[in-house]
Parts: sequence; structure tokens; C-alpha cells
Amino acid sequence: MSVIMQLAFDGLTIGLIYVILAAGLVLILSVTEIFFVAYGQFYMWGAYITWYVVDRFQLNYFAGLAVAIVATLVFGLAGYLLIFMRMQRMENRFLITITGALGISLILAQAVLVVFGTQPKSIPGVFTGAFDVGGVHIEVKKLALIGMGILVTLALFWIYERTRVGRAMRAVALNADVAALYGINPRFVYLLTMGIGCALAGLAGGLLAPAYNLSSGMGNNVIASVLLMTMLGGMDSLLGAVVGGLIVGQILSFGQYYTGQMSVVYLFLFIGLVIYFRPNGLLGHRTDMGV
Amino acid sequence: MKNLLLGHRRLIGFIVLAVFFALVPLWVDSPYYIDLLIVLMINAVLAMTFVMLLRTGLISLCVAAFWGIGAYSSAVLSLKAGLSFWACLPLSTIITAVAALIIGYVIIRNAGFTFVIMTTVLAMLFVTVVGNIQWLGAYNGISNIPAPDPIDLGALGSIVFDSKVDFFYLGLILFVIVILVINAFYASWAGRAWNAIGLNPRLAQSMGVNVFRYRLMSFVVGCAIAGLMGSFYAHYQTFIIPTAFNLFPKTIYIQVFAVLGGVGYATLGPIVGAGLLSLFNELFSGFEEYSIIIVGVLVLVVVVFLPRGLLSLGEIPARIRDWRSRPGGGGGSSTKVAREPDTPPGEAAGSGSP
Amino acid sequence: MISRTTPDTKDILRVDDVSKHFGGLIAVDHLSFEVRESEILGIIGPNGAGKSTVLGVISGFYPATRGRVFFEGRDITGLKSHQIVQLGIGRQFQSSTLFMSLSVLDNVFYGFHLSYRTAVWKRLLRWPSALREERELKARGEEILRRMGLEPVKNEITKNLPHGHQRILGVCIALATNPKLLLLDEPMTGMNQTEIATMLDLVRGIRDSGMTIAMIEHNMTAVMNLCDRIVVIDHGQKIAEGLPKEIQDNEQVIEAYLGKDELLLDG
Repeated sequence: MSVIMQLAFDGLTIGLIYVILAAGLVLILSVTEIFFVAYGQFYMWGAYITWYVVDRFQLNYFAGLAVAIVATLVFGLAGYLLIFMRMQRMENRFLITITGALGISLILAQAVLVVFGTQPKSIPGVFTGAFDVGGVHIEVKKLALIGMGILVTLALFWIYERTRVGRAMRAVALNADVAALYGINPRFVYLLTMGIGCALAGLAGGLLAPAYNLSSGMGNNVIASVLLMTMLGGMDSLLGAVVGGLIVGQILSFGQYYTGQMSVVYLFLFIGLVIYFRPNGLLGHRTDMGV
Repeated sequence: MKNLLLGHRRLIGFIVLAVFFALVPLWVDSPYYIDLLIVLMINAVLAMTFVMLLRTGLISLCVAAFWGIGAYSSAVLSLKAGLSFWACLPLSTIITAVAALIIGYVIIRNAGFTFVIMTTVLAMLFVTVVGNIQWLGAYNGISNIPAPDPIDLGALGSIVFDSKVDFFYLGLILFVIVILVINAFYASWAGRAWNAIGLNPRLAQSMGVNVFRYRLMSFVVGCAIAGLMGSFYAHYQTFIIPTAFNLFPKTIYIQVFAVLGGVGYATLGPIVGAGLLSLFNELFSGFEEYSIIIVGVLVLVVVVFLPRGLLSLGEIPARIRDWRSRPGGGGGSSTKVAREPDTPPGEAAGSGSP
Repeated sequence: MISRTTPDTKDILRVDDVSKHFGGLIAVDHLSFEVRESEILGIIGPNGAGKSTVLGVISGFYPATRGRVFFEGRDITGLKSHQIVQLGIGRQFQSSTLFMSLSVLDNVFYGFHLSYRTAVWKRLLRWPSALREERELKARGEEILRRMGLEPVKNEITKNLPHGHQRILGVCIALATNPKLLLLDEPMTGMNQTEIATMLDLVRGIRDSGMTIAMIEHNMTAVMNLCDRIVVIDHGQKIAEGLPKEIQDNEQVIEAYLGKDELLLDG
């Protein structure tokens, strides 16, 4: 019993990271309709920047987190302005934007090795201590991660549902041409979405940094799972991303314990089954996007 | 008549290129460069299969995985079943085609994000699954894959595959056959249906094209060709490891080859793209660390400023001519293009409906 | 004008109690009508009345929420659009969804997809019969273009064509699929008077060659001139059906149009 509780707790920890990641990707996919494969690299960069600031400048962890968010935000904005903005009107833009994202992915993945080296990194001693509740070993660093994860998710929902920016995003996601008629500048919304999405990836990386080890492959490893989550929840639903992230977190946590690396295979089969019966995902509306 | 000439011009260009390739070993004797050329041919063919799927609007990020299925099935057939390479080559192609048929049947429902995501995940699953099967050597892969059996030519002696040059010629023969087959497909009615789907799936459907079936067909044909190349690769390398067939970076590079050259140029584009990147890697071989970053920057520059690929540079003079003659042309006759559907629609697909 | 339709002509297409809902929106609501052999049926109605949706349901692009569609007595409800084309219902699209980067002739040539019989491998080997079949199809394509008056521009790239020609080309592609029933979706939108006159002649010519036509059109003068019978739809429901003369005098129809601030007779 306590094993199951322990796995559920660990699944929740990693699941909340996934929730933030999936939420950012869902925003990018549904609003800009760019298949942003480089997303995982932003997550990795967020984690590494946090580590770098804490480790090198001996600054507070939260300062590192802030730097990571700002840096990935700036990366995302620059990426959109320099690369994707020109592609929005191209005739075969689906292919071209994917290729652009692949190019960014190559650069960021390799740049981490060049800048930070190949050794795994970790940030020890930010949140220390642990306690047992009913046989479940609860580490404070993971508890902190859960608390911050929930906070970020709530804040995101508030922005998306209650603010003008969020309304503009939802309008553009539904139909950019119609939104433009209502005085919304789609390009500005695309830019903003790209920035926010990338910053969310960086934030997720920064949140993960004190609790887990960092490695140069983490960006590539996570992207398949995050893509699966967005499909599970529905590619145009923020709530779907939350649900998808939590489910996938649990499946991976239990799967890892009982079946090792093959857990990804079972996850894929499970999601394939869901998609077969609900092509829009659990909470999505649109059948398909792109092309 | 014009069509005839045009067709012949393409054919002559192709023959000249093939003969030029065939003569390369006469003046290049370094095995290193021969190896580079063999890898180039494999890469170019893989990129061609990527373009083939793209024709029907499918962006597949699992080309390398099917390449891997071909390589692994060939390795297993020759090592565990003791078959000769000459049996493994067609058999592994068929196995890959069957795998593509089953997988394609499930994942080709829409051509949008869902398909790309499915293929992305499949590409990673291939590595994870193979890497966890002990029987396939797990992450250590399979080694000691035998070279092809000698071909006995009777009185003329026999062809023994013991040097890279022998493999080069074998690869070149496969390369030429694959290019001919791919272009024949484009010229056939199936290729026309593919092109129609890629340009406008809804209109294609209202013409009676079974979009699903033709997409599946291009998926199976493309993957089978990738499997054929996989078999050749396995026996040439003599060892294979699962991570060689991963999404990062293999499939990314395949797509980059295709886009760099220009996806509108179905055969020449991938050759130019793959050739250019090999050249690039040679130039920067001293600083490997940075070469990938520079490749990434190159990709971004091409994608932003030359979205139709490097080969579209060749069209610029024609476009300027066209643009100049338009105001005085009268009746728009200057924009006349006698494009016969008989030509492989190489030039057509890159410019989809706006 | 003498109506060709007599009560004893048989129905080629029967739409039976069809409804189509998009989420909460009811686009077509319990609609029934039939198309009789070798007539020109006009489907009219105010904007957003659900006319295009009806054509979408008939040609298989949208599955019907309720009801059945019969073509030549056969139930075609739920068939895929490419199967429906195979049975003989050709469709011209509303917006200019042509292969813009191909030549005019190629657009029609691609439309012969269903007529092409040669197996792929024969074409791979450049079998003489395969090449002959392609030549024949190309000749047939030119024949269609000649009939529709597009022959002078057959080698033009489609996106350079004037709008009126693009509309006609849309009809040509539909003709290449060799339909028994041709669905036209606002063939005269955005055309000038001369072009409309040409289109009227062309549509009559198609009907005289033995095809049945069902068309949506906004231009009332054209509809009244061309159609043998008219079905009027508003809010997804049929509000009137009959000869052009009867429709012109129908109170309910006038109300439906005036209520939407649209002119009954424009152009």
C-alpha cells in the first residue's frame, strides 16, 4: 500500500512539471499552430540557467528561477521575431515552421554541451529535509515543487480565462482572421504566446532543477511524453493539458517502477487507444490542426 | 515533341550524373571519402522518401525508424536465420513494407499535428523498444553482420565484397534503381493522385481520390525504400545500434537534407542537401562541437530566406524574366507554362496553393 | 419557358428528412426534397440558410446527423465523399479551391482519376497501353475545355486566370469525374453580366447533354431564368418548392428575404 502511495506522490511531482510543460505547448500549438519541436530544449535551458545562476553566482534559488524565466522568455520572443514571424504567410508553412523548430532544437541542444559541459548537474541544499506520512517518504524539495506547480497552473488559468491577453489568445486560437476583425493583432498574440509558452518551459525546467538531476538529453527525452500529453488532453484545451499531464505523470511513475523503460511503450499504447475512440483527445474540440 | 525532349533532357542529366558517380573511385582512392559517398547516397535516398510522403501532405518524423526496421530485420535474418544478403535485401524490404502498412493504417487518419506527433513518438519508441530487447542486443546493438556473398560470374571470376569500393558500386546500383522507381511512381497515376492530395486534399477527394488509401500507399512505398536502404546499411556497416535510428538527430538531419535542397525537387533536392551537409561537416571537422550549431544556423537561414530550398536559386532568372515581361505581355501569355503531367512533378509540389 | 419536368420523371436523388447539427448549431433541419432526372433544380435561400451544408451532406463531406440520402434508389448516407463521386455525383466547390499552381489542362486531367484504369506497374514500365490511355484522357480533357470555352487558356497557370474562368474551371473538373448529377455551388458569384450569360449557356448545355443539375445560386435573375424547379431554404428548413413563377409570388419566400434585408431580385 505504501509503495502505491509513494508512487502516486512521485507521479504527482513529475506530473505537475508535465502539466506546466503541456500547458505551454498547448498554448503554442493551438494559438500559433507551429509544431514546436524545440520546446523540450527550452525546458532544458531553463533548468541549466537556474543551476548556473545558483552554482556560479551563489545567488538565491528564486533569483535563478527568475533569470531562467526571463531568459527563456527572451529566447522565445527572439525566436518568433527572427524566424517564425516571416513564415506565417508562407505557402508551405507547416513544413517550414517544423524545420525551423528543428534548426532551433539542434542549436540549443548542442549549445548546452558547449556552454555547460556533459556532466550531470544538480542543485543541492535548496529545500532540505524529509518526513514520513503513513509510510510515504515525502521530501521537502518535492513538496515545494508541488506547491509551486499548483500555483503556476492556477495563475496560468487566471491569465487565460480572466484577462484581456488571455481572451485575445483564445480568440486567435479559434480563428485568427475573425479575431483580426475584432481589433486583435494576431501577430502580436503569436509573439506573446511564443514568449509565454517558452517561459513556461523554462519555468518547468527551473522548478525541476532542485529536485532532480539535469542532463543534456533531458530536452529530447521529455518532448515525446509532452506531445503525448497534449494529444491525450486535446491539443486546444488548457484544462486538457492539466488532466493529460497528471495522468501521464502517474502512468510513468507506476510504469517505471513495475516495467522499467518500457513504460513509455505502454503509455503510448494507452494514449493510442484513447485517441482511437476520441480523436480530439479527452477535452479537445478541434479534430486536427496544421497543414 | 517538346515533352519528349524535356523528358530526355532529364534522363540525359541523370545518366551523366550516374556515370560521373561511377567513375569517382578511379580518382578517389581514400576509403574515407568512399565511405562518405556511400553514406551520402543512403542519406539522399532517405530524404527522398521523406519528400515522397510530403507529396501527400504527410510530414513523417519516423523515416529513420523504418530505416532501422529494415536494418534490424536484415541483420536478424542473416545472423539468426542464416540467410544470404541477397535474400535478406528483398525480405527486409517486404518486412518494412508490412510494418509500414500496419502502422500507417492506424496513424494516417489526419495529416496534421496528430500524424506528426504519432511519428515523433514512434521514432522514439523504436529506440526504446529495440534497446530493451535482449534478443536484439539491446542498446549494444548487433555486430558481425556478414558482407554480401560473392557473385559468381562463371568464367569472368566473381565479385567479392571485401572493399569499400565494391560496396560503393552496390550502393550506386541501388541508388539508381531507387531513383528510377521513385520517378516512375511520380509519373504514374498514383503520383498524380499524391500530388493532388498534397495540393488540395478536399478537391482531390471530390475528384474521387481515396485520400486515405493513396496516403497509405505513399507511406508504404516510402518506408519500404527506407527499409531497403536499411538492409544495405546494416551489411555495409557490419554493426548496428538502436540509437543510430533515433529522431535526434538522424530524422532531423533527413528532413534538413530535404528542405535545404528544396522539397519541390524530388530527387535532386535531397542529393544536393545531403551533399552540402557532408561537405559542411568536412569543412568543420576540426571543431565538431560547433559544427552542429553552425548547421542549425544554416538551416534557419535557408528556411527563412529560401523557403523553397537552395535549388530554387536556379529559378530566379526565370522569375525575373517572367516578372519583366508581364506588364507588356498582353493577355498574360507570358506566364504560360507548358507543364506536362508527365514530368515528375518535381517543380510543382513546392508551390502549393497559396 | 417550358418546364421539362413532368410528374412522371423519376427521381435521381432523394433527400429524406435530413438534419445536420454542428455542435449546438442546427444548420439543416428535417429537410426533404428530390432532384428529378435531367432537370435543373435551384436551391435558394438567405445567407446562412444552410444551402452549402446540404450540398456538403449530399456529397459526403459532412455526415448527416439524421435522415437519409438516396441516389438512384441507393442509400448513400454515410458513404465517404470519394465513394459518392464514384457513384456519379460530381461537385463544384464554392470558393476557388483549384490546383492553383498547375495549368488549366492539368486541373481537368487530374479530374480523370476515376477513369484511369492502368495498373501502376504498367506505367512504371512505360507500357504502351498506359501511355495511350494518358493521351486519350488528355484529349478528353481538351474536349471538355473546348466545350466550356476555356481552350484558349488551357496552358495558363490557374492562379493567373480571371475569377470567372476559375469558376468555369471548377465546373470542368467536376465534369471530368463523369457525373450523372452535378452539384454547383454558387457558380455565378462575383461574375459580371457577360460572364453570367456565358455561364447560363454552359449550364444549359451540360443539362442538354443528359446530366442532371442541382445548384445553389444567389443571383435571382439567373436562377429564375435557368431553373426548372426551385427549393427555398431558410433556417435549415424548406419553406417553399415549385416552379420559378410560383416561387416569385410566394409570400413566405419574400418575407424570408425581406426579413434579412436582401433584395429578391438583384443583378
